[in-house]
Amino acid sequence: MHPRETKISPWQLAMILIPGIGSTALPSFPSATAVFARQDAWLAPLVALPFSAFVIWVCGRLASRFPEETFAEYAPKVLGTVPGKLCGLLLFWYFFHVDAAIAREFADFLIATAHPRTPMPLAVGLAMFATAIAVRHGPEILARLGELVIFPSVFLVLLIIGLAYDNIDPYLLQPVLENGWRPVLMSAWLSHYFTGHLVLLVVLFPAVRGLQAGIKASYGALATIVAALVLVSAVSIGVLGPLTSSYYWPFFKVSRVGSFGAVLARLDPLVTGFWVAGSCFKLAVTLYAAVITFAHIFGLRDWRPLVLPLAALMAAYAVGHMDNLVEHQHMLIFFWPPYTQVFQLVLPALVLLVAAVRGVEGKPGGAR
Amino acid sequence: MGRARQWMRLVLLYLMMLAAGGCYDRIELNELAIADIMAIDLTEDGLLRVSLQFLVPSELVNPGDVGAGSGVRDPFYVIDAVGETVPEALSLLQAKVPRRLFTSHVRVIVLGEELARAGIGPVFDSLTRMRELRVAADVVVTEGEGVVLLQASPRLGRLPVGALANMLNQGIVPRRTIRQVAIALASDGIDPFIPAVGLAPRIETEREAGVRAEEFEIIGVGIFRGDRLVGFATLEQARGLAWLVDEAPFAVATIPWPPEGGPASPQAQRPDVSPEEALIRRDAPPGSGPAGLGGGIKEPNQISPQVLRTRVQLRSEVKDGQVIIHVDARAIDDIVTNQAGLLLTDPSVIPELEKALATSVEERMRAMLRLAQEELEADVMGFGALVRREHPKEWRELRRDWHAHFRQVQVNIKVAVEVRLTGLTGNPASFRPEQMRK
Amino acid sequence: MPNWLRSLFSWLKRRRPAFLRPSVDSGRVQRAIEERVAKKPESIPDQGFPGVRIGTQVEANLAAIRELLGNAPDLVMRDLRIAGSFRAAVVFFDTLGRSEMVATQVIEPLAYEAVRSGLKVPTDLARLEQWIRTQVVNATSITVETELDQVVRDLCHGKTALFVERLPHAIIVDLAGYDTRSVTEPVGEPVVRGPRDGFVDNLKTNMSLIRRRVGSPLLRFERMELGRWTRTPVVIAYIHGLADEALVQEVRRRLSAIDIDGIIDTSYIEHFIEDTPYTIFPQVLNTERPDIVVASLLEGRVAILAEGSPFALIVPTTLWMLMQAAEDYYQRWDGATLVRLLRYILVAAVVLFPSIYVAATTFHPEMLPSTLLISIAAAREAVPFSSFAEVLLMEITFEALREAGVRLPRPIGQTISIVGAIVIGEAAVTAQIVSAPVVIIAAFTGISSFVIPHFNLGIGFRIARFFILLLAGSLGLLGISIGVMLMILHLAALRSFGQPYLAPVSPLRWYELGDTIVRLPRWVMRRRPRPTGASVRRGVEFLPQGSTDAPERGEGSLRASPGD
Repeated sequence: MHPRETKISPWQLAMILIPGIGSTALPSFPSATAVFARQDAWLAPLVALPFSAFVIWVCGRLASRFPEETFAEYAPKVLGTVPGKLCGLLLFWYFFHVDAAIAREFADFLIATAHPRTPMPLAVGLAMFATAIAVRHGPEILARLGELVIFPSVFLVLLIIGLAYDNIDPYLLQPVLENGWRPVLMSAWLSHYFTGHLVLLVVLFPAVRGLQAGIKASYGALATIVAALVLVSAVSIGVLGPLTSSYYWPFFKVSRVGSFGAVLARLDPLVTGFWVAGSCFKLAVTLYAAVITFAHIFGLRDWRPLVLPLAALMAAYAVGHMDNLVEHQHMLIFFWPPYTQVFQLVLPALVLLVAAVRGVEGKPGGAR
Repeated sequence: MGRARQWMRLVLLYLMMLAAGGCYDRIELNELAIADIMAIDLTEDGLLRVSLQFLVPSELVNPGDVGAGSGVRDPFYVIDAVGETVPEALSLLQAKVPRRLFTSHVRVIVLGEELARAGIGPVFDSLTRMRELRVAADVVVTEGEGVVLLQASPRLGRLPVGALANMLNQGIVPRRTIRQVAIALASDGIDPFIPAVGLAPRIETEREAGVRAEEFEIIGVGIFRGDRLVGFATLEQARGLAWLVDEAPFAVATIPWPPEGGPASPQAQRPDVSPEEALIRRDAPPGSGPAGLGGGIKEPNQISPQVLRTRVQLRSEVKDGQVIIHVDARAIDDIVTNQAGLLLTDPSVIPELEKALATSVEERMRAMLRLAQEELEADVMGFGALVRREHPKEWRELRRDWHAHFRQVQVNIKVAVEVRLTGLTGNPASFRPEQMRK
Repeated sequence: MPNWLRSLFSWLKRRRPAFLRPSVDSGRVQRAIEERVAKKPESIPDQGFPGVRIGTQVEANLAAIRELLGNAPDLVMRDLRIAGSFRAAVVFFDTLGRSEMVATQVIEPLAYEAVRSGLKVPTDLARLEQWIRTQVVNATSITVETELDQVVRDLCHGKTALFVERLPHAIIVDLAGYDTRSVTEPVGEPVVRGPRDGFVDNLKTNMSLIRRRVGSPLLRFERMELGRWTRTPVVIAYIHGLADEALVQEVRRRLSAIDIDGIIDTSYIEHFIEDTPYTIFPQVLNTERPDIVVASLLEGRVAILAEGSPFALIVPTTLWMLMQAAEDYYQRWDGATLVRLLRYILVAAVVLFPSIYVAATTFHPEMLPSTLLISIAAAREAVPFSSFAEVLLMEITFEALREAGVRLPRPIGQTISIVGAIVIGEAAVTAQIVSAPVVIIAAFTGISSFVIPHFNLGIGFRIARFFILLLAGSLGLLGISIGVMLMILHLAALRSFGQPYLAPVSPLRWYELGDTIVRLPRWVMRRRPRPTGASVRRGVEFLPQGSTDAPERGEGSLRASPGD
């Protein structure tokens, strides 16, 4: 139906997943989780870990049941044509919506921190354009880009933590579980929104050489992301204490605490720069997933021509679908978790369940 | 699908961007008015008066180069404006400045006493919310108007703010940044404190006569209860505070030797000097001076340690509603003065000396505790936060009326001082053997 | 005409006996040659005179050759009689061959020595030819040609042809020799320590420089001629067994697809065999140093040399290879590693430093430390231009100075640089046309751009610098981020003969990283890099494609048909 892309290796899959999920999470992460869990927010990703691992498991089972096929291709086989296509559309909508939200958050961040007078359509449009160019190269090049982005980013994160080291007050992390587990569970629910984005795997697994190794790499990527989130949350809380939930981008604030006296008075523009790259990467991965899903729903021969129009559509939606930052933050905390759960957990699990009950399987070998 | 088309698209996009005026946030450096200190005061009618000290870069770099022969001018100047809030005052201030205000380089924020006494909470919302300000900027309070501090013209350092920031960095009293104060304001069981800075005149040289010559001086610490200033700790008390919050200064303190109770120094009961006695006097330690000229150094028998390294640990205990704080302080000292003539080469002297030093440290902490607990009732040490961390259950009971409980907090202080070095000399170099004391 | 008939004809044509094929003896052929030379000379390099044989009459052969070469004044035709009996003629260009050698090694033995030393001249023709080849002529390389085309081609390459009456072929003696530059230290890539010989403009010498260093019998040279008119000899060098056969085949394919009037330098070839023509980054490494070529051959790469060019091409190439100087391998590993790190830092400076300055001063002044900000602000106080314009101005000035310095004769070039430096650096600042920090930045990036060992990569990065500078000037750090990301994306998507341009960093191959940004001690690097190894054979990363059409990057590697 359409030419398969160059396969990616399991390592490259991890290189797509880690920056593709972690990049935007880092600066903003503890802000939302600290609303409920306060100084225990760093526990949230750990609590959410099993749920996110479950997402990987479901995607892995689906992928081994239907090798070489993406969600939009096997859903009709499992659920019947119309409901299956509808499910595919739902997943597409999820990717589309998330991508728009990321673009929006990116623009908000950029405007709030570095470029207050830049109009939002320009910021979103520019990011989406760069993203679209990257996506057109296909997943293999995306993985390579991820590889090149990830190491400097890790270095930057460590640098920020190192520079802020003097200002980290571990006492601010105490008392642990002051109000019991309830608020932590609430925060974990929120945290799962980030790590549950691993549902990308329903699109990425078919592109991986060696499914089992790919699943292992995904678990590794999840562990890495969770470790990074825990570290960043802990550092943010250690530096900002009770202020953590007040700031929209606590880790960004942390980067403003430290400085390289003589060379760079403030690191934050650098952080903004990396955030741009990281956001574009995450946008690209999600855009890729959206485009592939869309193409497979409608059985299109080549997905490449879809990239630019969809990116433009997303940019427009990103600019238009929310009025202000407060609304966005509110949505992120109260509306987003249950909403995304539907697509991240329920939808794939449902398809897997039905497939298991009805005993539907893809052709062994899978290639058509 | 050629690369050429992609590149063409890119170029096209770029041209479009330029055409759309992509340079939104662009501003040249010579369109900026760079401010380095901000002072916030409360006016009599309850408005905020924000003063900014602006730098004139060209005059800083080439003094007297650009100015039209008007002699040397200060490379900085101060402008103020009054408004309901800080940003409003700033925007009014903009009306008085020809270039765009640039407050990202404000490194010290001065809060006037009036404002501090009225409450700093409202101001701190602006300070944390405004994008331009650094969370790592230092905060200081003054006695009296804050704007006065902007008139200092310290000699060392190109910028006044540099001098001030450096001075705070010396660790004479613990410094506090916007972030730290904001945390203290937002936290349970801890009251903020902010270093207090005043002005001190320089000793005028002949050339400088008539020139405004005022330097910064750290005068202590402003103690807050909630967000309100309730009093100032003196430099001595501030040092005690520094010990209690484990930011002990790299400072010199002095103890008399022998500690209270020992035999008074021999020359205290010195009569008129006779030739024989003159001989005896040779055995007395130097520094006593002739009786006629005011009796010499006030207390000649002093030993000064330089604190090299400290570690202070606080632990809390709650016993039937009574909060007990255990302070466990350790210090490593270097003796920098031994005008008491103590025989420092004798190892048996050291433990005694260490004990005396420990007592002096404890005394200093006690002085601060007295101020905080009895006079001001402000928990600047964060005992409440400590209890909350260690005994969250009991804290729920205590927090409601913490300041009342705080008065009753019993503090056990244990200080262990270790004298590791005795400067570059062992026995006092200027003393003869018979003048030494054991 | 039906197909079977056509194939029958062609079969007949191929199989027809020698006496039926046209030879120069026939007057018709002679006239046809004259006709072609007079009327359609441009068709000769393309088609030549395929199938035309050398005739048995010396005179006819000489006439044909004379006609073809247009009575060349440097063409020597010397008649002689072999041992006083057989009529013969020696033909060669005295501008390409060595006359005295021809005289002593061909003419003298044939005409005088043979008889004097009592050799018996065979009477029948077949043995005569063998007698000349094996016993009389002294030169080492002797071949026999029957095709007129080939003989003329050999003549043009400096060989000497010997025609003997009644002998239907020419005896070709290789006595080519002409003046060339001697082997000297390569000017463009000097080293402090390491081999000092460099390629010259003579293919044979260059091949010898390589052969000398590789004792293995598996070193392969493959010769081909490129260029319709120049017929430049081009040699592919590789080590059989190390270089992947698919890669060598691909090189052959791309080379033979080249259709051009002439190959003046190997750079002509480079432009045809690049994977991606629309890029600012070179995908083929060129070097003057035989040691680099040999080291690359040992890594399984393929080198391409051409007559008349002292530059060898090496494929596949990665960015890291272009960032390495030969010196790195001859110095101790610790020093070499530090130098390499420095080089990468400076390259980052070349690309980013001016942009960061512009972004920091016009978009993010909060980034700079207060004192630095004040210094820059003071310097900028009286400058009429925007930071962006200033930097652009100075960068362009620097490029101009650099270009002028390279193009001018050396003594004047130095003057230019001094005058330029003083005028631009000193006067412009004093007159407050530009600010001093910008001059420092322009000078620093300029100097930094010279640490890139390969000039053409430096050009690429300098272009990228202007591109990013434009983005920085209009969007600040956002622009820099996006620009750098696009550049990295572009680099990651580039390929050189199917080999990813950023390999082994991306895609990551841990054990090959020892020779990229750092250089580990040689005893650590025990494994041969696999630029052409398994990954190529798997057909996943390898991208077979036409040499001149613009390939889709990255994807589509499974579309194996080269035609699309």
